[in-house]
Amino acid sequence: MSIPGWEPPADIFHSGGKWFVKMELAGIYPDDFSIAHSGNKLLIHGRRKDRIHNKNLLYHSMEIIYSRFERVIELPFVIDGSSLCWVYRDGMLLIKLEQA
Amino acid sequence: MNSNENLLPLLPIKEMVLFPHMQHPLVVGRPRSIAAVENALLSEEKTLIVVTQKDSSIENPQQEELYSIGTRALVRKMERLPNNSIGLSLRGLERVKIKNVDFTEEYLQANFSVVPLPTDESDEIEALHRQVLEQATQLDALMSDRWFGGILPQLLQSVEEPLDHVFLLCSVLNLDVKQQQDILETSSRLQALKLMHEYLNHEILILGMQQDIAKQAAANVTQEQRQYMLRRQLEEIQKELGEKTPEQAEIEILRNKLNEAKLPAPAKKVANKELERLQRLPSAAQDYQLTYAYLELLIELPWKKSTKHKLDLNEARQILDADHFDLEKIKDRIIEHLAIYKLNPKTRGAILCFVGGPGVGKTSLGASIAKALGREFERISLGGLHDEAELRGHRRTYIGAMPGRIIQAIRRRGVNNPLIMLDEVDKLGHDYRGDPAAALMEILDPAQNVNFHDNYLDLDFDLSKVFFVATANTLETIPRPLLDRMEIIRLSGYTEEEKIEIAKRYLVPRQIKDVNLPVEKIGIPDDVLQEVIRHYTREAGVRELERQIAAIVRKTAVEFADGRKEPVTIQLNQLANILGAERFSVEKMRQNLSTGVSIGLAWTEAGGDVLFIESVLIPNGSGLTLTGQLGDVMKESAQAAQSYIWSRADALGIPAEKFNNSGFHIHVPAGAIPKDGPSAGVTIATSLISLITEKRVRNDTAMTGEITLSGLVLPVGGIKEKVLAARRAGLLRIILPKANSKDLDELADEVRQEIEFILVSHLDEVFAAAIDNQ
Repeated sequence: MSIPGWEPPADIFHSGGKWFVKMELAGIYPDDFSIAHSGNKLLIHGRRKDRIHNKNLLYHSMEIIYSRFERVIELPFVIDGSSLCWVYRDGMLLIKLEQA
Repeated sequence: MNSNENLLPLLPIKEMVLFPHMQHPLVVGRPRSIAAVENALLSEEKTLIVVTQKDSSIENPQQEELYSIGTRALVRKMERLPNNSIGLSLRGLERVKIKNVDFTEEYLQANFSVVPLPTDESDEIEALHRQVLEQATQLDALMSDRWFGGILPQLLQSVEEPLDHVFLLCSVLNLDVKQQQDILETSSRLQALKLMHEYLNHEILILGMQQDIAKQAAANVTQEQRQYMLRRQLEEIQKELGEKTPEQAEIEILRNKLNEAKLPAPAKKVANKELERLQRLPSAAQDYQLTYAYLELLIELPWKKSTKHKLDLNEARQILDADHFDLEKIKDRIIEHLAIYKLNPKTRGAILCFVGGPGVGKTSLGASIAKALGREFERISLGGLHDEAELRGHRRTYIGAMPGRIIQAIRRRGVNNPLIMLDEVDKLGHDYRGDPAAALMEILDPAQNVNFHDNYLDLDFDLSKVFFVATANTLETIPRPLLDRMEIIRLSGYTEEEKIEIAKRYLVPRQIKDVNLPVEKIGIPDDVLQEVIRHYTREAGVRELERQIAAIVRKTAVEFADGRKEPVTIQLNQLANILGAERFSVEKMRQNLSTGVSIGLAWTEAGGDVLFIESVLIPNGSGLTLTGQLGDVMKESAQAAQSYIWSRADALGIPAEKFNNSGFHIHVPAGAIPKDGPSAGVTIATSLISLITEKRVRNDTAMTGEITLSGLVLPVGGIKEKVLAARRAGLLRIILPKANSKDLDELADEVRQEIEFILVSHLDEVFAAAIDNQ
């Protein structure tokens, strides 16, 4: 298993017993990432593929990181798997979850 | 993954290894590498294969010049740099094995398979891992001055995996490519840890040594400072105890020498005064060195030291005979001089001055006299000397002042009665800096040189015990007063026979010895020597002859160096091969002299020479034209010759209209050489008579002599040289002034027998002897 090329930044916040993990994951197709959980850990991994290119391009510079990403987020509680759901909008992934 | 996906752009890198999990900046400049990066960026995932070159000096490596294990890396960042290269930030993703490299595109592409990193576990791995981390901490302490000093433990804490630690350490240590590649290619974690353990040990050892060396250097510096402090303290203590510093010891040595040196009273007084002054001066002062040098001169000068006189006239004669061939008259004269000196050492006889052409043996005569007298010999060349201070020294107030040549010579010889040879007194110059000839007068005058005053010495030094001998090529340029103080001894040139004898006795053996061969190995017969003298040299002395003999000996010595054993005798016919074509041809008699041409003899600095005087009649011209760089005296004697002939036209049977209606032109070749003196008078007169009477001059007769308006023939100088020149040219009749008959005694017997001398006192006798009446 190769190591990830990058780790997306994430915000974690909660409100009235509900926890939210918001992740900046622009340019990623829903098929290209997956969310898993185990105990108090939340694992988000996937790939950002550069689909806006053709063979005639010549890069002048590059700063966006593509390829495989992976992020393990430790929460202060054991996750209730059944409560976990997510929404991806405007390049942001928002995961909702609750304490088991 | 299918095989197509396993084809990625390949980026060869130099002098580093990119490990999986490690992030590394990289600058890429090679066109093929830039193309590889650009193509990698056109893929969805922006990855490429990075592999290290085995030899970093290769610009376009082939597959076998690359390691086969590399890393698949993600391009996290890329920017163009100003010099057409690109900057990358790479992160190693996984270890790969390169199966095949595709060289067909403008960039390299690699077919690869992933080689997962080992994951073996054991207690030994755990132990080694801890040991490596321990070593890393140790290393970090040693490296505290480097940029990663202090942060290494932090870096290591950021990961847990042993292999990641090893990879991280690889980028910190000074490892070479092979060592890093070994880690990358490791088949087990154990092996990687073992390697790293070894590398770290080595690194710690080296760093430890480095620090030891640095500490030692620092210790040396403080040691020097300590010694300096101690010395200063010692000086203070010595002062306190009244002991001597090195300078004081130096002065003490000088004082002891001074006491032993037996200086005359005035010199002693000055020396003591200077010594007092020296003691008060700090040793760093410039004056200290100057005063010290002056005191040394005072001490070293031989105020009272002389060599014992050894004046055995017989022995002196033997030495002169052994060193010089013939020159009987000169040797007699020298012996006379020495005899007087022996009878009364107090008489201050005249200074001997040898005058003669180059190479006639003036300088070596001086050396022989020194040997005969048992004196030290010192030669001072005065040629081109034009500053009085060279002889008399500079006053000590000038920077770089030195004693004059005379005092220096005496100091060098270490006795106050050496024989000093003043070479080339005729070539003294003089300019605004003074006239060295005037200084010489003081030096050479026995009445004055008892108290010779050198400006540097600033004390009188007694030169009266010094035996001065001077040499000159000519007397004309020597100032009259100086000439008066010297006794002139002329060394005229040598005859051919004498030269052969000198060559056989001195020159040939000397040259053969010079090439370190036994004398009998090279034989040069008389006829060869004669040929060399006639056709390869033209001189009064034997200097050029010696040079030619040296050339012959040198060329012959080559054969001996090549292993020849039996002696060589030089043959006449070999000469052209050895010395080249003849340099000089003997002045050939002009076979038929036309009317108006007569043969004269000239005296030059290099000996004698034969010259032809030509005159022609210019119809409808007038007056007398003289050409050939003639001096005033020579022109006047030409006019005198003309006037005498014209005045006696009737008696000589010359028709008056002949010179009433025509001019005359007299020319003396060679036109470029200046000529002067009255001795061509008879020759010019003979030339004119021959022209007017239309009778030829005899072609075997040379002549010399000054004339007066009444037709008298007066004596001239340089007879010996002129006779030798005529003989060289094959002229066997010579017309000479009667008053010169005494000079013929100087000639060797064979010359006197060979040549017919016609001694004349009047021009009419000259005409009778010279004009061919047939």
